[in-house]
Amino acid sequence: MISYEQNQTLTQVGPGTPMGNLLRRYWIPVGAEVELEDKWTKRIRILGEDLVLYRDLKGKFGLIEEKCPHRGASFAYGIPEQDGIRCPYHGWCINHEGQCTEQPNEPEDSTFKNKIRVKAYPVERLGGMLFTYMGPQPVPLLPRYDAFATEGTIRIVGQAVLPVNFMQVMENSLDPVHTEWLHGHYHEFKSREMGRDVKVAFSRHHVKTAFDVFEYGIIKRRLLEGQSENVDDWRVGHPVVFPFTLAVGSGGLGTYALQMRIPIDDTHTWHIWYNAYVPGEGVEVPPALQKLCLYDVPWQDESGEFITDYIDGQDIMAWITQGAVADRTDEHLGTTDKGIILLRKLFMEQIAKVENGEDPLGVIRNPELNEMIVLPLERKKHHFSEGFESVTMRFQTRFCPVVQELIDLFSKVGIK
Amino acid sequence: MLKGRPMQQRRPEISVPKHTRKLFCPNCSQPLLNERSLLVKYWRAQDTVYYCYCSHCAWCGEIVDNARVVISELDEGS
Ligand code: FES
Ligand SMILES: [Fe+2]
Ligand SMILES: [Zn+2]
Repeated sequence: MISYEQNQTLTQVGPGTPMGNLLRRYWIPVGAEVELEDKWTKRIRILGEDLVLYRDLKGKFGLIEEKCPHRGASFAYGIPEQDGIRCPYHGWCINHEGQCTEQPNEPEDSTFKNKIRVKAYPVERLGGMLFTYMGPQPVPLLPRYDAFATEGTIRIVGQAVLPVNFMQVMENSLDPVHTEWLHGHYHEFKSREMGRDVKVAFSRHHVKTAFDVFEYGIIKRRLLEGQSENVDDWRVGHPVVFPFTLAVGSGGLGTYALQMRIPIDDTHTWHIWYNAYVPGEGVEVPPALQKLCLYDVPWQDESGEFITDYIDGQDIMAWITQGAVADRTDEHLGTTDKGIILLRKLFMEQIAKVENGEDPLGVIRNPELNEMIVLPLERKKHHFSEGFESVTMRFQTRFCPVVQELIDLFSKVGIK
Repeated sequence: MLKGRPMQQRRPEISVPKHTRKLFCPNCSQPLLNERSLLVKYWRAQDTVYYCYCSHCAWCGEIVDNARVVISELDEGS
């Protein structure tokens, strides 16, 4: 239970808000490169700002505010140029810095264009994704987390727009015991209802959980009933990468799985599941898996009910039913919620850091530290003990159009 | 409606959530209910616990409303 004002501080992400200012200190995904292969623009909304991502004629990506400064038509219908984008309405041209460079119908010697500037943000590519930085100068480095920076991986990326504030999605990642219920007992109950009597590894009881702040976020660890303290689940754990990413353990399968929760605005989150698989030595990757596969993750059936027979769908149901912005003035936290309390404190501390003119947690400026950031991850994870196919088909990966090729490749020749 | 409200436009008064105590920082005595601090109420068995983070002095720790005081006696002779 926290106060209304503290809940606002933790959940408002628009320009000028404390959380909005903090989140703008990080590189934020805005799309996948493949999205702009057959088209030039993509409308996006990030941190309450309506923007247009575009590719210019030289192949460079840009991001500017959606509305043309002239009379407000959308750059989503813009014309790509050598260095920027042109408004379709009267042809004003804007470069990557947001400077207006042409107003074709103004007098030839007019300097009016020099006065016109729009919001524009830099775009960088990594691991098949496009990222932007919306904060003040100087721009920090785009973090080269192992999942993105590892070369030659097979990449499949699920996405969904969820009508929910990002903070409750992040709190879910600091709540290890929910897995035992939501993905364990509830999953078993759902399966029984559908005529399948299954017992899943997720339902194993938690003996204890622990949380440690490290240089990129919080590592969470769990000890399950019957495990010795030597197991990876307890010894190593896996991290929540501050401020909006969960890195799920690989289960020793040569896989990386990031769940990124990008705030669209106070009541919507763009959820990305970035999965990268390292093929084994000398393995030939079939054509279907050579290019990043971006797909939608459905979470509602035709009647508008949540689809809860897969793991991520169960989480989505829980997040959204909490309300668009969870009312934290009316919750009842217990001792198993200590990870959530730690996360809230970490956000408040980092907000204070930004206000004191310091870099918040995980912002990187030293290129030597950024060649490849290897995140701590369990290699052997109890929750993934049922094998690649079973786990892959119980997560949102089941919706990937090339999932069968992935499973076949894995069962035939293996993944590192 | 989806835009965040800038800080200046916020309501000046601080609301006290139901059943929450109006607590002050044990280190610097500033109110812990302000919008940049954190006063998280939770329950540990019978006890009510307030996890505190003070935005003024960065102190963090817990304040506990004890329902009972339990002390174990030292073993005689040891
Ligand atoms: S038991 Fe946790 S939300 Fe209901
Ligand atoms: Fe979950
Ligand atoms: Zn204080």
